[in-house]
Amino acid sequence: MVEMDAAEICADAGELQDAFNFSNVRKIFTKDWKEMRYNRQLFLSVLLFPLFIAVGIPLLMWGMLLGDGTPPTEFYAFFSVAINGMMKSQFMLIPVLICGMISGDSLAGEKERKTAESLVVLPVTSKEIFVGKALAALVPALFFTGIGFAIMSLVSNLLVLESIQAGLPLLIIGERNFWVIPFVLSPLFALVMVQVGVMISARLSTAKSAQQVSMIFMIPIMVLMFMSIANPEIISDIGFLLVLSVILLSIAILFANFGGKAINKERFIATLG
Amino acid sequence: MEQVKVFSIEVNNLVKVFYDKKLKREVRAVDDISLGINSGEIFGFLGPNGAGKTTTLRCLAGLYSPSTGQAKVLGLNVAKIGDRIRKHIGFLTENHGNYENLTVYENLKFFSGFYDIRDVDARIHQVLEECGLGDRKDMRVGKLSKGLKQRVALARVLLHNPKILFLDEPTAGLDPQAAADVRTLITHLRSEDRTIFINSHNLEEVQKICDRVGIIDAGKIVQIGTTAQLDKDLFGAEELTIIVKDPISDTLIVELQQLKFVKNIQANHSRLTLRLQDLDANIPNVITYLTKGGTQILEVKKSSHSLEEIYLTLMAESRNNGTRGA
Repeated sequence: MVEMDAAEICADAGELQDAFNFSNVRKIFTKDWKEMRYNRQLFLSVLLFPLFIAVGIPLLMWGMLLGDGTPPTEFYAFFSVAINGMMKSQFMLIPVLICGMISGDSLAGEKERKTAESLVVLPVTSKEIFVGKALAALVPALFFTGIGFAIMSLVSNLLVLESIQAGLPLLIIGERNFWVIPFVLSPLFALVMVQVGVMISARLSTAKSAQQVSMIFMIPIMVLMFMSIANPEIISDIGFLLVLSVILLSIAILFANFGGKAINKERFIATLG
Repeated sequence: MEQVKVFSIEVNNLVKVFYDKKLKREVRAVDDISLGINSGEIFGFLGPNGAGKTTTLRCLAGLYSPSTGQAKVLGLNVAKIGDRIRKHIGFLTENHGNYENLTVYENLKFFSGFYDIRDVDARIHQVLEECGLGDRKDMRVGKLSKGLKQRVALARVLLHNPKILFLDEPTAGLDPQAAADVRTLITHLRSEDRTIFINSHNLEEVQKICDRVGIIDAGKIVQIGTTAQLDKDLFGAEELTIIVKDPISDTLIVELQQLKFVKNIQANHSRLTLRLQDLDANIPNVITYLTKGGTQILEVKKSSHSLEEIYLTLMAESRNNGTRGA
C-alpha cells in the first residue's frame, strides 16, 4: 500500500480533464508529414499526380494540336474551351485524390505498421488524433494543388504565348470564376474528403482498403466533371459554385463535429486484435 | 489534510464484455476480477492467449471502459479521468510501436511532446544512455535489430519518468540475449515509487523479475501471490531432497514414513525426496533421525516448484474444475 495525499490526487485529477489541445494536433501533423516524406510510394503518388495534370495534360493537348497540323493561332481557342470544359474540374479532383490517398493511409497505415496502439496510448483525445490526421492529409493536398494550379497556369499560358502577346487575356488566371475552384471549392471538397478518409481509415485495417473505399466519395466530383464537359457553363457560373461551396461547408462542419466521435478509441483498439 | 491509503494499481470486480460478431453473442473477456498492486512492486500477469491479460491492461490504461467494476491507477478511477490518465503511466505495447521511418531521436522527440518534460533534449539523452542507445540516436528505427527496437520502445515509455509502467509481453519475439538485456533493463527500472505491471507468457522471466504473480484464465483470476506462496498453497507440504552415500534401504523408507511430519517419500537409489509439513522446522529432525541411524548425508537441498510447474498445475485445475476464486 502506498500513502497518498487525497487532496493531491484530486487536484491531479482536475488538471487531467479532457480538453482539446491544439499542440497535440500539431505534433501528430508534424510526425505524419515527416513520415510521409519517407514513405516513397505515397509521397511520389502525391507529388506525381498533380504534376501530371498540371504539366502533362496541357503538353498532351499541345502535342495533339501540333500533330493534327492545327495552326498555332487556333491553339488559344482550343485551350480556352478545354480548360473551361475539363481542367477546372481537375482542380477539384487533385486535392480530393491526394486527400483520399493520405487520409486512407492515416490510421489504417498506423495499424499496418503496428504503431496504432502506441499512438492511442498517448495522452491525446480521439478528437486531437482526428484533427491531426485530417490536417496531415489536407495541408499537403492543398499545397500540391496550389503548386499544380500555378504550374498549369504557367505551362498553358506559355504554350499559347503568341496569342497572349497579341492581346488575348491570360488563360486560367485571367478568368475570375476559375479562382473560385482552386481556392474555395477544392479546399471544401478536400475538407469533406479528408474527414471521410480518416473516419474510414479508423474502421479498416489496411491503408489500401481504406483508400479504395474513400474513392467512392469521389463520385460526386466525377459527376461534376462529366457535367462540366457536357455543359461548361455550369462550372463557370460563380453563383452555382458558391452554392455548392456552402453545401460542402455545411457537410464539412457536420463531419468535424462527428469526426472525433467517429474515432472511438475502444472500437479502434479492438480492430488491432 | 486527509490521508488515504491506496494501491498503485487497483482493480475491483472488473468486467469487460465484448460482442463477438462471429459467435453472434457477448463474450466476457474479463470476468469479475479484483487485484491490488503496491507501489514499488513488480507484478507479473500470466495466462494463455485470450485469457484477458491485454484487455485488463487496456482497461487500466483507459483504452477500454469497464462494462462494470472499476480500474484505478494511482487512486484515480481511470474511467472518470479519461485520456489524460496516460500522462502518468508508461505503456509498452506488445509490438514495439516505434515509427520505423523516423530516427531513434525523432521517435523520442515525438513521444516526449505529449508529456510535461522540462528539458526534453536532456531527458532524451538520459533515457538513451539508460537504455544503452546513446550511440544510435540518429539511426532509423527500421534499421535496428528487434532487441534494440524494444529498447527504443522502453526508452519511449520512460521519457516522462512514469510511476506506473505497463509492459505487454516485453520480451516476446526476442532472441535469448536480447530478451536477457531487456530483462536486465526492466530490473534496473525498479524503484521505491515505481510500480511495474508485466503481461507475459514467459514464466521463467516472470519468476526472475516479479515480486508477485497473478494468473488469469478465461477472464477469471485463478490465483495471486508470490511464487513461494503459490507453491505452498498448491502443493501443501514442501519438498526436501537428501542425497546419501549408500543406497537407501526399504527399512529406512518404512521408518521415515512413520514420522508424523513426513507426508510423502520417494527414494531413488541414494536420493531421497521428502514432502514435509512445515519444512523449515522439520529439516533438523529429519537430519538428526538419519544421522542417528548411521546414514551418511552428502547433500541436503530444499526444493520448490518452478513457476512453470505451478502455472501448469493451476491451469489444469482451472480447466478441470472451473476457475478458482482469487
